[in-house]
Amino acid sequence: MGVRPYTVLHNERRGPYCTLTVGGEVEPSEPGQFYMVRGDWGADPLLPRPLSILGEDPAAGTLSFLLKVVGRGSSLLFELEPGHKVTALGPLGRPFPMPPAPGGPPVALVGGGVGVPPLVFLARRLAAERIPYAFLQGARTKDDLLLVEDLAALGTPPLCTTEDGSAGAKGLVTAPLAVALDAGLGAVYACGPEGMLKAVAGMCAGRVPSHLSLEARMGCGYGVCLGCVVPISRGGARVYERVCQEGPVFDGEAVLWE
Amino acid sequence: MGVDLAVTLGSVRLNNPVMLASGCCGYGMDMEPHLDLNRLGGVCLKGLSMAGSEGNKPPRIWETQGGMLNAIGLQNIGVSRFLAEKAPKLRTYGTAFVANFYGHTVDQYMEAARALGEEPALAALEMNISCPNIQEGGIQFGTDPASVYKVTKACRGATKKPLWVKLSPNAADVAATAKAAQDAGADALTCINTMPAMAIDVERREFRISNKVGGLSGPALKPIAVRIVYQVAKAVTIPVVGIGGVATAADALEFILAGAKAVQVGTALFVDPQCPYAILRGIEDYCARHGFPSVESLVGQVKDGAPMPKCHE
Ligand SMILES: Cc1cc2nc3c(=O)[nH]c(=O)nc-3n(C[C@H](O)[C@H](O)[C@H](O)COP(=O)(O)OP(=O)(O)OC[C@H]3O[C@@H](n4cnc5c(N)ncnc54)[C@H](O)[C@@H]3O)c2cc1C
Ligand SMILES: Cc1cc2nc3c(=O)[nH]c(=O)nc-3n(C[C@H](O)[C@H](O)[C@H](O)COP(=O)(O)O)c2cc1C
Ligand code: FES
Repeated sequence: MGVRPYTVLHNERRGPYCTLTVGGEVEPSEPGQFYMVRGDWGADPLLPRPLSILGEDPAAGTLSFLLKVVGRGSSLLFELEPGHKVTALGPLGRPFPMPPAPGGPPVALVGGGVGVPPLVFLARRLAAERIPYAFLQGARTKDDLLLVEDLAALGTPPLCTTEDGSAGAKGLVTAPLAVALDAGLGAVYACGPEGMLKAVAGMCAGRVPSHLSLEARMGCGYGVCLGCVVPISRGGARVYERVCQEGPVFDGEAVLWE
Repeated sequence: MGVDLAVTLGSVRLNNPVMLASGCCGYGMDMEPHLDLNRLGGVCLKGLSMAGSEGNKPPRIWETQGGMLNAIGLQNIGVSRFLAEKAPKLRTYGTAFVANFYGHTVDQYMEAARALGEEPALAALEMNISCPNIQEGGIQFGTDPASVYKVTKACRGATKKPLWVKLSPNAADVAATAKAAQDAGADALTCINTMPAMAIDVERREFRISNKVGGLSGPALKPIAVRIVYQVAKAVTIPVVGIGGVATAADALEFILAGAKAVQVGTALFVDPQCPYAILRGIEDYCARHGFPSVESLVGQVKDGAPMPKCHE
């Protein structure tokens, strides 16, 4: 497919977060997939940065991402203004497997921080297919809760927890997940900090399938550098699999937390 | 009249001088969704060993200024699985595939050369004597001319395929290792592999990659690589392939003017998997613009007056 040029349409900033929307040629994608994104800033920083797809509209030719400033690359993306050029390669990676058609038990989407955007894309698809879901979002403070209005607009407001109690229930997102699991779930979809994913995998093990979207530093993003591997259990053997190719979505029971 | 892009490296003829670098394009067909391999001069495949390797513990990569460190640890599926699962598919392409290989002992190198040497899909074998990532092997072979001679000679006896030796920038005297490889029967030299390097997260007081040391690649490596290509091309009569930070046609031309007959593109593929197309187009335009009828006629054409003075500071 090759990298494609895009033009920044808007970049809405809130605290350390921004929602970046770009326009250009857009291939249809699935929730959980990502793009390798880069501005035209020369050789430093060199590598493109992986960003999950928050939303896409292939007909209109738009793509959006939500990102948090953590270092050099994300700071430069944060500073982009409408009209600026970016390049992106994608969509890449294996998406979240969609639950079977409506009628089954609801599913839970569990997200924290910049793990929320791919789950919002998934929620949009689930809502369109009338598959019932609960959206559980955990954050440190109310300022770190993301896309709450967008989620509410889909008809299912998120159930939020914050560590400091500044919004929603005080505590971790695993508390409402435990309740939801007891009530019966068809599957759990999660993306967020490693500690959260590990806890979710543990709670789901032996009860319901969990589909976790993992993060790793990436070189190429399309499977050739072997820079992004994580240890996975496959047929009883411990193997390294590529987050960019076999992932980013992995079966929670197969992930080895080392 | 068009520019003749083909180059010959010993008995290997490449349709054009732009190749993909080992470790940066998987087993060739991994590039397929993004790049038409038949438009390239050649493709060097991920380093193979007899036993295969699961590679190093993550994190394996870290970006540095104008480059990156990697300590993949030569993760590979092993020679026999490669021959059974990957090689048959490679036979259908019209580009030159080169199998990069390594071992931890001279015998392991020989065994790999012998097994890979039987595969018709391969145009040549490229010996990795320079990978800085594996503690027991790699670096020792590549930094000492006597070891380079020994391991090259052993592999030369094990296969009839064209044998390329990929040199390490980490040798005290790269020209001496180049000569050792030539004397032992190498058909071509690839310069260079990554430079051993390190990065530390000061806030956490931790190494950025789990192996502590990783190989530096990308634009930051280029000036070192151009210098080594120049020195090696002066020291040997066999063809030299230039590699290290090639991302544009101008980068590739620097290597060709310094004496390389072909270039390999590695890290730049991570930024843009299709950059080889633009590199090739740019080389062709340059030849046309400067009146060179072929890429071959451009090799080593940097205006080279007095010999390089010894002290360069
Ligand atoms: C599949 C995938 C999807 C992602 N989706 C999003 C998203 O939608 N929104 C978002 O804000 N971020 C996302 N990330 C993380 C994002 O790619 C990193 O935050 C970004 O690459 C950091 O670049 P930087 O130059 O700002 O930081 P650097 O200066 O490179 O590093 C700063 C810090 O970030 C860490 N870091 C660097 N690269 C990564 C990485 N790829 N993953 C995790 N940590 C990293 C470093 O270890 C370091 O501690 C995703 C990562 C992956 C693998
Ligand atoms: C992720 C990665 C993996 C590599 N793996 C190999 C390898 O298996 N064998 C080898 O000889 N060189 C390997 N190399 C070195 C490259 O082939 C090349 O020599 C080096 O990266 C410099 O070129 P570049 O700056 O264009 O990347 C690897 C480089 C990178 C970045
Ligand atoms: S990022 Fe290169 S293989 Fe995954």
